[in-house]
Amino acid sequence: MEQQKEPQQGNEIEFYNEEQFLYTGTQVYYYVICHRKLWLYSHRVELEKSSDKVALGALLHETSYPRLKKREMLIDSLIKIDVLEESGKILEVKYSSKMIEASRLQVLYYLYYLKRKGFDGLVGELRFPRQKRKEDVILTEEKEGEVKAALQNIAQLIEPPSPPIVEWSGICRPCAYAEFCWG
Amino acid sequence: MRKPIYIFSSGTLERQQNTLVFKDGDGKKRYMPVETIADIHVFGELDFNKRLLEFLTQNEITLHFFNHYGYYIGSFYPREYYNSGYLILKQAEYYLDILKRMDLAKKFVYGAINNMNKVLEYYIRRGAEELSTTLEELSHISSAVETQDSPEALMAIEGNAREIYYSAFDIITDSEDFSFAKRTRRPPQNRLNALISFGNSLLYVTVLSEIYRTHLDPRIGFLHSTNFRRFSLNLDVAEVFKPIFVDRLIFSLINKNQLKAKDFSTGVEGVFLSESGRQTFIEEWENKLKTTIDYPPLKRKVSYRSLIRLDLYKIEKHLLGDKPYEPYASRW
Repeated sequence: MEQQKEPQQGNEIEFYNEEQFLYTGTQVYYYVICHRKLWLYSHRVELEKSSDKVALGALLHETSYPRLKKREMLIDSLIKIDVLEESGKILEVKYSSKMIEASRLQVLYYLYYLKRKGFDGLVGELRFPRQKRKEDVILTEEKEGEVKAALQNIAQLIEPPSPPIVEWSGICRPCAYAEFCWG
Repeated sequence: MRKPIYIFSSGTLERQQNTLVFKDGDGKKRYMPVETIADIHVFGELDFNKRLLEFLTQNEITLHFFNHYGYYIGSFYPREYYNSGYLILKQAEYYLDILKRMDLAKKFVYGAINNMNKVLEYYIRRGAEELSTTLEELSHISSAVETQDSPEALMAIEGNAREIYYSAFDIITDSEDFSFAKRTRRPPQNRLNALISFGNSLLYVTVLSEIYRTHLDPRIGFLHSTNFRRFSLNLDVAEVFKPIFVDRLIFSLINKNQLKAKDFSTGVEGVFLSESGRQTFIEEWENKLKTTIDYPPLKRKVSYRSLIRLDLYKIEKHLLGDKPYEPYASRW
């Protein structure tokens, strides 16, 4: 039988298994937003395809920044980067700046992921074209720790056979899963 | 909100760039923007090609076929676009584990009987007091549900319940043209039976179209056995909604004189709705599905059609071990 290593306890957060490093940007994003949505999405109980909001977001992705090249790069069949600028800047385009915390962590994750693949020194930028707003995202040592902690938490959150219990919050109302969770 | 399309006349359905177009026998064209279509129901003769099926698949539209008599023939059920291997495995697990299967199967039967009760109670409130005896007989049957230990026995109980409930139909409709006598299926032998058969077929395909918009596999039912050939989950879920969707609609069509004897044709094959009758039925059926009602759990109004999808989500949650399924219970 295959020996499984126990996760290390203590302050030092480390990947005990390279193979577990298998999350998409969306999972990291949902981790900040809602653990139940993260669980459902991770078990492919997706509902975003019938959401008008998600369709609007996709349209925005298609139509924003037409002059930029290298759009929608899929890396390792896992992470999808909206735009990679020549200067080495990763752009992430969002429909709304409401979930800015989640968007930040998503870009930090991309930077961390690429750093581990040997692409050091990249920087990120969040773009909110509708609000004409942008924000730099820099991967510091501290931020790297946040990303690592998040990835480890994600692994634990999606492991149970059933989703976390439903809990009402303000973000439930516009969520594509609202009818699933509350109906 | 996407709308269903019903095609009664014969002709050709094809893709023209990014629109659907129906050409009838006289060459008249009707354009239908594809984004606005929920599903398509075909009653006439239809010519189409593979390009059309590809287009429907891309746009996640199911295509349901009915024969000359309005019998359901089959569906073009496009490739799944919501796919969760995890949920499918759970659905199969709940089918294979007889205790888990019986638990769900009983819920469909309870849900069905409960909604039959609601229909009877409504007419009792409106003066048909003799229906109280039917209600009592029904509750007697209902108490036998819990002790059944096989899906077949449960199906038999469900059949008994429905027989008792159907005995109330003559009192509710009180029309010589639509006397019930007994339930006859293939073929229906009188007008009321023809209406029940037609209404149930419409409900079966509506539930099937809604299942397509979830992660569930329509081939794995719990009350109705999976026999590897046909859809069965839609039959399970339809049981819950028949009394409040189909039967209520039939009573209203008869009692408001919207359907008359002349809307039926009788032949060696049995009694069937004529085309005009079908059109009237479907028009009212669609009005019903569009009607919205208060839905307290979501704190807003939802359409009758969405009630079906909400029940499907409840089944998913049941399978995921999130929350036990409670079938939709009509409140009046």
